[in-house]
Amino acid sequence: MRLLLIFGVALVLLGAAWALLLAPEEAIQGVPQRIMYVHVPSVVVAYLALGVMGLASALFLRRRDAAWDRLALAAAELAVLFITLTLLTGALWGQPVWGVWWTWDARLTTTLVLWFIYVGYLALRAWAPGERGARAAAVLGIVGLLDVPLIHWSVVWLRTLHPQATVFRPEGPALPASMLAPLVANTVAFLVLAAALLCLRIRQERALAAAVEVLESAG
Amino acid sequence: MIFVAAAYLAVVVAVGCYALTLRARQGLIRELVDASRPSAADGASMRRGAADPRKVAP
Repeated sequence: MRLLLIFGVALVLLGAAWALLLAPEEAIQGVPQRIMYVHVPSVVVAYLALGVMGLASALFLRRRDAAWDRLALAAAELAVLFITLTLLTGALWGQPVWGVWWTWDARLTTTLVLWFIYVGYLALRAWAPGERGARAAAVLGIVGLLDVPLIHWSVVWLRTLHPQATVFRPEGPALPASMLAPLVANTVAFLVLAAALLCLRIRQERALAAAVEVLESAG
Repeated sequence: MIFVAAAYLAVVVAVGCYALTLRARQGLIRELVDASRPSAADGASMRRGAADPRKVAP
């Protein structure tokens, strides 16, 4: 686990070096476009973490196995972390390129709503521990996923300041290979780092559950 | 350039803070795990006077 974490950090550092030193500079936006190499990987990790959370929540509701609940909680924490990073890096990219830190654009607003939903999820987990709280959180976690397609399609359905998809589109990525390769490398690096954090978090929850069980049975 | 630096700093701070939270939580869990070990549990029951050998008459 520790090795995976060290490997993830090393990959992120290598990815950062590639993005900052070797990737070509975009002709119109210039240097701020390099924020893409952390903004897009953050979104990808957040979406995948939400997918894992949704799947684990559904399996927990079906099988009532606490292991799925622990996975859902760990994935939701990571999702909140990376949605926060998405919003922060987006604001830092928006200021030099659009001239504003924030605008109530459809994609930005739906992403902020997603952040609130899963901060609410974590608050629910903290305030309502136990089986009942876990079931309520699982339902909230699954319902909250309805916001993800809204975020994705908001730039297609509505007129937004945020550009349309340049990577995840049916026709294939619109980026040149010299920018796509470091973007993919950074995404993989972020995924490895997130996987290491997820494994650590699950292991903690498992150890905590085992200790609580022993203490409760000991009276 | 400052915006790019700030974006990378945000990543380092956010992931770093989460990792430190995990580390702090690990310490608390370790204490709980130690407390839940059989010897510690026996010690706890002994402290409650359930099976303290010193209380057995010679």
